[in-house]
Amino acid sequence: MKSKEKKSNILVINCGSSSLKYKIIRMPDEDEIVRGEAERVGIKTQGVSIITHTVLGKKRTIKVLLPNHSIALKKVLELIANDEKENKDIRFDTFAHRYVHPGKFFTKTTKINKMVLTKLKETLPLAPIHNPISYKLLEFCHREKSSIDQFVVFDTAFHKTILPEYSTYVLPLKVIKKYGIRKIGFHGISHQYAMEEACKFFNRDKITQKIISCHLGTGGSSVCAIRSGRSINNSMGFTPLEGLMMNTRSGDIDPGAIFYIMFRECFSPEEAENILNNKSGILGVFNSSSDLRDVIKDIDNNKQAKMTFDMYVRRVRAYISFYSLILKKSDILIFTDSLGVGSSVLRESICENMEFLGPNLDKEKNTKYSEGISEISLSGSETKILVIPTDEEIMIAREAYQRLVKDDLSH
Amino acid sequence: MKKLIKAKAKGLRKSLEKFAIKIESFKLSSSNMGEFTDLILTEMRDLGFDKVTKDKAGNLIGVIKGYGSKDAIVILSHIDIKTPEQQKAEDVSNSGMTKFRSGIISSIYAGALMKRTMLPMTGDLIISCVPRLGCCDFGTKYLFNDVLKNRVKKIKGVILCEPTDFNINLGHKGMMEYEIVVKGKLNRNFLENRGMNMLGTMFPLISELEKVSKELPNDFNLGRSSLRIKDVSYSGCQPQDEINEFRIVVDRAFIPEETKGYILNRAKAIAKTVYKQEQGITVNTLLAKERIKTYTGLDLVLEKEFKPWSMESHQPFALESLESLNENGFKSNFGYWKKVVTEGSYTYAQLKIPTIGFGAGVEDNIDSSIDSLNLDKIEKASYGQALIVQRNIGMPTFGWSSDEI
Repeated sequence: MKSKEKKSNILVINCGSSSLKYKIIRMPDEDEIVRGEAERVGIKTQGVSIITHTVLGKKRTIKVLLPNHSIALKKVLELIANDEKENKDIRFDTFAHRYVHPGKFFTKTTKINKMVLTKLKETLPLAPIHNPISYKLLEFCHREKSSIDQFVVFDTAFHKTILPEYSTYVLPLKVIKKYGIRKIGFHGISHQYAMEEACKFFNRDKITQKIISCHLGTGGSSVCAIRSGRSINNSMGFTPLEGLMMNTRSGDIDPGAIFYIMFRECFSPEEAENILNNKSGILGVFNSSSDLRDVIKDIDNNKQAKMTFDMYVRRVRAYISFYSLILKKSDILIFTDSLGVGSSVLRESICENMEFLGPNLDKEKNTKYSEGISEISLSGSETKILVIPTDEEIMIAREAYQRLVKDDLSH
Repeated sequence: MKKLIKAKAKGLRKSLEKFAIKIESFKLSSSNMGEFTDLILTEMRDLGFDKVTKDKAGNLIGVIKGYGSKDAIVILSHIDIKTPEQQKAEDVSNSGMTKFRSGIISSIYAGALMKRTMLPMTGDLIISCVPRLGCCDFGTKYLFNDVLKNRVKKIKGVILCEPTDFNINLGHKGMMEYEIVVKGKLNRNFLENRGMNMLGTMFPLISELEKVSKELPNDFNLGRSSLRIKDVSYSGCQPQDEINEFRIVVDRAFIPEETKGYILNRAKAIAKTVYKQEQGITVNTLLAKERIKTYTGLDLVLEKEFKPWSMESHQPFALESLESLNENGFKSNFGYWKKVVTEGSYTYAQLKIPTIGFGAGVEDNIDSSIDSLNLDKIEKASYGQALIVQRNIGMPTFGWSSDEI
């Protein structure tokens, strides 16, 4: 059987600590059949738990009790099963899960079996909020839907190729070895998707390309240096706390400042972490919002907004410059995720006077950008600038599909 | 992390309320213990505990598995079991329930909370509800000597869900009941040198014990030891009776510097001194025992003793637990119980496992209905217990506390 002939409906599962996003994607055509999100899973807020379920573009919202992620997935599977009764095309034959941090155990998309689950169990502490939830769902699917192929796609796998000189922290080797401390890098699925889409857009082979991908989100943000289709550096580190200024995360900071605050305020590590992770970044500087879009709205008449915006931009530029240096100029500069795609002002400020590094922005194209993948650089720009809306679920489906086809061929 | 645990606690609130109603409305008696314990076991199962069992002593055990098999934490609550006589006395008020039900609910929901957050733990979290009968902690002893025998060394700490008003308690005085038995031979109903009948013969010893009670030692944290005469009895009051004897039953609260042997020997010495003029008097002291039949069918003879214990406040388990609470909005301090006795008498005094108390409710109100089932306080207690567990056997979440990466 030729690989392109194999059809598969893949149910992609992507969860946060109180949410569960899902999509059924028909591969290899990449058609989205079902999409949805279970919100407020296992927590009590003013709103009740809901599942927003969209089938072939038709959306409905279901209020339902969702005490945990397993029950949320069970409900989602029930919804899909009901849809299938009405339309036989609404079905899936493969699971694909996003898994944040597999540590050293896995570096590529993996088919789930009992042994893999046992190994994955050891990775739970590596991303203590995210991994256990994904693990539970993997276990659940393995137990309840054992006849369905199940793949796990790792958010950090794309960064396994980060060069040791960039992934090694300047700490005593003994400590590094003892605790496995090194730069891991995150948003791998998004950066990989952006890279693939960019190469497709210009019809270039990724092996020949040097790419800088800026995943700028309203939550987390990172910049990635990609050479020959491989990540060689990422602004995030051992945890997602390192790197750019983010909504509530500080990003890069002098550790001495933290120790000083801890000493003066008698803070525990947990209190210090809470400041760095939840009270810093845009929220910390701007104070009235953690969303850069609110900052941009106020930029002309609020000094603090102007400073926050400048700080944010400066840090993205610093990483682009650094990565341009290690790539010896990039071929493509990508802006992705909500801020990267949604704010032309931000893109313009980041690219200002950057021609000497390669990118030369076409301001008109940049301002007029509205949707989809689009080039926003001037025709003579050494580095092409692209806006690419990210789609992690498609990337997860692609990864799972490739493994599925490979398995089929090997049989 | 704090936000996550708090959000999950709120998510469990409805379920907690339903369980509390079931527990509150259950009229517990010595004959329906099985039904009561089934209620608790069912709740643990419904909340998704990884393992739920009941052992031979009637201990209810629920386990939330850690990802590793390192340090475990045990959260203990207790069920007061009444003898039929005690039950009759309490039937009117059902006040026995108020003493322990908050602890049961908060401990089970602390376990559920850790289960819901899915925060990885280096070892298991063991939630156990142990039966306690009067002055006998047979349930705890069985739990640690039998069920948890092979993992005692891996237990990092024990959390006792007793009323501490959200402070961390580190000990209490011991309690024991003992008897002083004085045997002699009466002559014309009187002791030879005293010229008193059997009843009168007791008074000098009672008087001496009262004097002694005013001079008992004091512990800075736990307070002063105390002595209370609980009962007196005599038998063989006729000279022709083979044995003439009287017994004084003493309730004794004591601090760690006094040992059981010391107390019994001292009581014996006091009695001997009181009757030193008498010929043929023998004095004996012995720890009171009680024969009990558990609702699970065990037939046991148990000594009526709870050992005193007082754990150092610089013990890491205590310190980390206090920190975890105060960093997350509690205003907790170290404290000590003045009235209640706990399973710490075995877990710390005997087994030396670091033990702390943390729970809702005020010790002084334990026999009243003031603290009966305040759901906000129970939720807060389970949140606090979960924080303690997370700090001691949870994995650090540094750098990861945002939902979105």
